Amino acid sequence: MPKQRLIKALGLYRQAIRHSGQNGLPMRLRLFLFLVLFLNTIMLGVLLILFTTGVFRAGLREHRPVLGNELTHIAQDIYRSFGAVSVQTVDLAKELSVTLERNLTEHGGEAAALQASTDLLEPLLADELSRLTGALEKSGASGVFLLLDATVNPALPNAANSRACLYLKNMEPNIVNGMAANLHFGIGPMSIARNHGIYLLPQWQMEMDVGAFPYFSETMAAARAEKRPLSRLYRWSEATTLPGFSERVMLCSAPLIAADGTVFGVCGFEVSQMLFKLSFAPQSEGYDHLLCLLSPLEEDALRLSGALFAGNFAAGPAAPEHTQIEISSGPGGFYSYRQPEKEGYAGLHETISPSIRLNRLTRMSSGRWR
Amino acid sequence: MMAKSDLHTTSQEGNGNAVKKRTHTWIALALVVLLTACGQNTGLSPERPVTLTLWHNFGGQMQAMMDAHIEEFNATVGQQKGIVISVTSISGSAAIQEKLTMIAAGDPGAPEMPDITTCYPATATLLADKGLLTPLHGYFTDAELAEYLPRFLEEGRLADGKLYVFPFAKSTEVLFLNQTLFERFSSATGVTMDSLSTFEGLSKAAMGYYRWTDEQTQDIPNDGKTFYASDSFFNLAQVGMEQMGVSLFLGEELKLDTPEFERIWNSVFEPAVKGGYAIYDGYSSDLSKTGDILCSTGSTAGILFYGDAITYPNNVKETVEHTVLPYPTFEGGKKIAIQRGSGLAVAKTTPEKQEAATLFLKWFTAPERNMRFVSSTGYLPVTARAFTDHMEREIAQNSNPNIQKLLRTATTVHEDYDFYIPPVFERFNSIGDGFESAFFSIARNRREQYLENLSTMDAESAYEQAASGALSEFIRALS
Repeated sequence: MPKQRLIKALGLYRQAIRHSGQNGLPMRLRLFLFLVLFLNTIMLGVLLILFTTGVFRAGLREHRPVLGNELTHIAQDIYRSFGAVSVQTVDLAKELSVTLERNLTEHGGEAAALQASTDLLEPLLADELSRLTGALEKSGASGVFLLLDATVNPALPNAANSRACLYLKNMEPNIVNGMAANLHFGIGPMSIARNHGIYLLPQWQMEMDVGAFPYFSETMAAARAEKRPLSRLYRWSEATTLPGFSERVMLCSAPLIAADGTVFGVCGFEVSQMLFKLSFAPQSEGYDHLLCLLSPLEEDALRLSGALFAGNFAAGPAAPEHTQIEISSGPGGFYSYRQPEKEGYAGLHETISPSIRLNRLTRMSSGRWR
Repeated sequence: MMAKSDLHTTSQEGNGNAVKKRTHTWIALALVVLLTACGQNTGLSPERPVTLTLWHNFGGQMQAMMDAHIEEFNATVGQQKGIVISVTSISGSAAIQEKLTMIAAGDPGAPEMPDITTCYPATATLLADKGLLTPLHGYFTDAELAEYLPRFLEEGRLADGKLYVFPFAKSTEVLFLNQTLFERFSSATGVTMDSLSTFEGLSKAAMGYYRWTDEQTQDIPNDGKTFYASDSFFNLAQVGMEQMGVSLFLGEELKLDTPEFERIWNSVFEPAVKGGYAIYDGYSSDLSKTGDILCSTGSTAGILFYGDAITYPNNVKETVEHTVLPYPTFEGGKKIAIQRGSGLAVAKTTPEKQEAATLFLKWFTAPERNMRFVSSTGYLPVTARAFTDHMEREIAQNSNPNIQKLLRTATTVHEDYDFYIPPVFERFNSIGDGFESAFFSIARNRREQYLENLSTMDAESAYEQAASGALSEFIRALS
C-alpha cells in the first residue's frame, strides 16, 4: 500500500512539471530569475578574483611592514638610550671609585675597611652629591644612586641589610627646558637634603634595605667573583619596585672598585616607568591601540613582572602583577599574545639583548583590528 | 488603444515621478552620508580617539592613585568616547606653576602647553589673559554645577567672571601633631593638647618645649629642640589677619603697619628667635620625619608625608602616632582656615579636545570617585554629596589611621570653619615668596644675634635686644 501511494505522488509531481512546461513561467518572473542568476554569477566571479589575488588579506599584509618599521625604530631607540645609560653608569663608577677612595684615604679610612669608618659615610655621600646631580642632569635617566657597602649603625638588628645610600630622582626626566632638573631626595641622610635644599620624596628612607632588594648585593658579589674590567661588570635589573617606593623602575648599576680591587659599593642610574612611557610610546598614525613592552622573555612567554610598559592605550597589560603573556604564531606575519583569562593581542617582538625582548603589540578583538 | 495609450502615457508619467522620487531619495541619502561624515570629523569618536596631555602634581604615593584613575577612565569612558589621557609631567605644584608662567610669558625654552593641567587661579589669570585657557562653564549645565560646593567654584572664576579653574580636590591647612613625642613632653610639663588650639598657646608650648629639651643636656647649653614649623608663614599671616577681622592686603599691596599684624608678628617671631619655631624654608614634614619638630601646620595633602615612624640620624627608627587637629586661631579670633589646592584648567585647543577634557573633569569629580581619590591623598572632596553621602563610609573603610584622623578633622573644619580664599592677582606669588624670604632672613639673623647675646645677658634681655627693630626691618624689606 505505501509503495502504491508513493508512485501515485510521484506521478502527480511529474504531471505538474509537464503542465508547467506546457504553459511556461511568466516572462517577468523568468527575466527576474535570469537577472538574479546573472548577478550572482558576476559577484561570484569578482569574489573569486578578489580571493585569488589576496585583496582581503592586503590590509593585514600592509600592517606588517608599518608596525615592523615602528618596532625597529623603537627597538633602536631603546638600544641607544639604554646603551647610553650603560656607558654613563660605567663612567660614573670609574669617577666615583677614584674620588671616593681618595676622599677616604684623606680622612684616614680605606675602602677595604669601610664599615670601620661609619663617621665618614655621610661626608663621603655629601661630597659626591654634586657629581651625582650633574651626572643625572646630563643623562637620559630618571634617577641616580650611590650605595656604599657599609651602614651608619652596625649595631642595629637589621644592619646587615642596611646600606648607606644616596638616591635622587628627577621628577621630570622627559622635560628639556631652561629650568634646573626637578630633583627629589629618595634615600640618604636627611642633613644632605636639608643642606642642599632638595625636597624629599614621601617615601624617604635614610638607608637602602638591600635585604628586600638583593640586586645591589648581587652586583657587588658578581664583581668580586669575576675580575673583569668595569665595562663588563655593569648590570641591568628587571623592572621592579624598590622597597618602600611605589614606582616601577629598571636600574643599571656598576660596582665601585678601589685600586686594590676591593669592591666597596655600587652606583648607577634608574629608568622609571614614567620615563619609559613618555620616551617610547608608539607614535604611529592610524593605530590607536598600540602599546609597547620591554619585557624579559622566558621560553615562549613574556614575564610582565619584569616589564616596562609604554602606550596611550592604558587598558593593555599595564598592571603586570606577575602575569605572563604567552606567545604563539598568528595570521599575517604577526604573533599572537595571550594573557590567561584576559585580552588577546596581535603584534611583533624583537630581541634587544639575549635576555631582553622588546614587544610591540596591538590589541586584537574578535579577530579584527581595533 | 487610446485607453492603452492613455494608460501608457499615464504609466510614463508615473515612472517619471518615481524616478524623481528615487533621485530625491539618493540626494537625501548622499546628504545624510556627507553630514554624518562631517560630524565624525569634528566630534568625539572611539574610531578616532583624541589624546589629551595632562600635567599634575600628584607624585609619590598619590601618583599611584592618580594613575589608577586615569587608567580606569581610559579603559572605560575614554574607550567608549574616544579619549585617551596621557600624563606627560608629574612634578611639584611650584614647578608646574613656574612652567605655566613661562608658557604664558612666551619665554624661550618654555614647554608646550598641556591640554589639561593642575593650576592655581593666580597662574590661570596669566594664561587666560593670553587666551590660552578655555572657559569651562559652557560645558556644564546649571544642574551639574550645582553639585559642586559654591565656594570651590567661586575660587576658579577669574576677573571676567568665567570659570577657568575647575575644582577636583581642595585642601585646607591643619595642625599635624606627633602624639607619641608630645605625650612625653606633656607628661613632663603638663602642657595639654588643648593649648595648641590657639597660636598664643602654640607659641608658649614651643618655647616650653625648647627649654625642656635644652635642660635634658645640662652640659650643652642652647641645644633645645624646635617644636613647631609652618609650611607657609605667609598663609599663617593671611589667615591670622582674617581671623581678627582684617585683611593682610590693601588692593594688591601688603598692609603690614597694623596692630593686628604686629600681634601675628610677635606670636611667631619670638618663638622663632628663641628656638621653639623652626626657621626652615622646606616642607615641615621633612623635619617631622626625623623627629626635629613635634607639630606643624600645613596642607591636608601633606598627610602622606607623615608616616608611622621617625628616623633619627643614627638610623634608629621609632614608631610614632600622629594626630590631626583643626587649624589654630588667634585668641578671640574667628574660626577661619585657608582654602587651598589647585584646580584643573583646560587649554584652548580644538572643540573636540575641549569637550573631551570636560568629559574627563565630570567623570573625575563624580562624588563617589572624587571621595575615593581624595580620601587616599589627603584632599577634600569638591561636591556636597561626597561630604554628605560618602565621607562617613570612607572614614570607616580607610585602612590608613592617619587618613581616618584627617578626614574626621576635615569634616569638623568643613562644618565649623569659614574658609579664606587668597586673592587672585598677578603679583600674588612673588609677594608671597618675598614675604617668606624676608621673614626667614630676618629671623635667622636675629636668632644668631640672640644666641650671641645669651653669653652676656639673660634670656629676656637677649631677646629684647635681638628683636629690636625687626618688624620695621621686615616692613621695609617688603615695601
